[in-house]
Amino acid sequence: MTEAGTPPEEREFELTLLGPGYGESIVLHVGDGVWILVDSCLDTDGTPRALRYLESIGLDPARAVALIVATHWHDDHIRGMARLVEACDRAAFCCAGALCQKEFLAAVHALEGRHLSVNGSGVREIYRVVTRLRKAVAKPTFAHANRRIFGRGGCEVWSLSPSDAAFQRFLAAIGGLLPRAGRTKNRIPGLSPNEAAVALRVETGDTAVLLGSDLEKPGWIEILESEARPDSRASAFKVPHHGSKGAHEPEVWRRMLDPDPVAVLTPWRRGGHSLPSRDDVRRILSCTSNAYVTGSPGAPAPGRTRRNNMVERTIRESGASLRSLATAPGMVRLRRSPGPRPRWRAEKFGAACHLEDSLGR
Amino acid sequence: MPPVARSTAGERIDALGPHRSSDTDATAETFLRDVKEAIRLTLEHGTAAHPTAAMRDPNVKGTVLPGLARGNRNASRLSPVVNLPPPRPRRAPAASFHALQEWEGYVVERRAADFVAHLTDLTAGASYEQEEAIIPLTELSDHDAARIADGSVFRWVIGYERSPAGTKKRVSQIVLRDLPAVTEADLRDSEEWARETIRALGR
Repeated sequence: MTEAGTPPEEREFELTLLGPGYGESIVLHVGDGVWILVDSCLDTDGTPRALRYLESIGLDPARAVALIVATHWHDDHIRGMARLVEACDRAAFCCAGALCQKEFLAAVHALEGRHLSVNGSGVREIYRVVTRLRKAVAKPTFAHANRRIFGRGGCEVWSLSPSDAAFQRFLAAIGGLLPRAGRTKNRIPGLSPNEAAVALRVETGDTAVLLGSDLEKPGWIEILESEARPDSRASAFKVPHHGSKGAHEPEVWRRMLDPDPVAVLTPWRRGGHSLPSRDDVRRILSCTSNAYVTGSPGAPAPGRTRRNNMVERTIRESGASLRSLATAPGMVRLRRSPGPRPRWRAEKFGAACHLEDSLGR
Repeated sequence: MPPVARSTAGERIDALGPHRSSDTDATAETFLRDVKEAIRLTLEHGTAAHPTAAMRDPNVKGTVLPGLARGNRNASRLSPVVNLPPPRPRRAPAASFHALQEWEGYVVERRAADFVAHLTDLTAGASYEQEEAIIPLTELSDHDAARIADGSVFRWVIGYERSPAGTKKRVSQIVLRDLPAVTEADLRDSEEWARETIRALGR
């Protein structure tokens, strides 16, 4: 990927969206050398991309990062989270309130403890994060609708979700997570409904951004109906859930964002399905002309695995098909300096492109 | 009168002292008798290709022909109780399997005719899943196909199998892993860990 160059100016706001590899991660500079990391994804060599990015612009993550947020526990958002927590051991940590639920924690321990699969139980990253947090001096903060989770200098970070109702639905969904005695420990297929994801609003001076995580429509409707949420508009938007239709709520664009905001998103694919679809792309482009994606969902990862010819032939003859989970890594960086007419400056790295250009790939 | 030894079966055997070279006829007679006995035993059990094989076999208990075995003609005792090893089955050439590629995977979605899985390449030494596969259910045994579900963990091996006759064929085999089950003790430990964690996290 192209050199990321220099760090932002002291008063410059930065929102960098790191895409696949596998998953997504956001790096924010909120001014005065204060950095925030939201979610985690891995580079193709297994290094958390956020750490690699900060180091590439000459920063020491241990000193620079003040807050880490895990918006939800899907593996495309938390891969490498334990390493972030470990590397940035002075940073505060925030996540949804499941980590204070005894049933959830017991299930995580029972599933991950002595799990003999190479891939783990599906809660391995959570287990590692919790194990790390148990030793940390600073206690984690739990995100909830309309809660101020961080403040330093002129910067405030608010969690806009999950609501009480969404959190109760999450708890009901994970009720069956604790395995029964005598039952084989398989891998758990998926952890939570996306409506329990943590959407964030980050504001410094006259710059505000809205980070949609994977929050889906019911969650957005609850945010819109809430009277306690901060009501100023954001000028940049991390589009929720890879631009899917299920996470699109037109009122969010109308009531929570400036006209023609800058939008950024990451692609996703699984089992022959990929996001954003062409319809998703057209819908997002109908809301803004300034949309960027970190890569095309159809683009293959570089360095495709080469195997013995006999293995390749056997795979073909079996009727199976294989493809890399990761697409080529890409990064969209938005920077904005304060001033009388502040504007976002967008830079694209690696496989990143304007969303409109992704239609042609 | 030379010393007389009796076998356990009461058979009279002349035991020759080391310096009784004058009694060569008796020595030759004893030697010939010993050899005949060894031949008879060998033929009866059909194991040795050579009559003296039974003598050389360290597993043959009670075949007391130490002198013969060592080339000493002054052998003194022969026990008629002979325990030859059971006939060795002729060892057929074994089938062998050579793995070229191995993955561990888990099912993310079971569908009507196939399943979607994420794979970790064990052959490449990967530590996390980097590939996604769509695999027909027909690749599984009937037993595994009936029980495969979201979250099932499996191994997939591709290699070649060499039959006893020497023929070689490509093999792709997917087998579900039955991982250890959760125990009551695990659950008690987990609840305790959860309580400690909540205290440690300050809740």
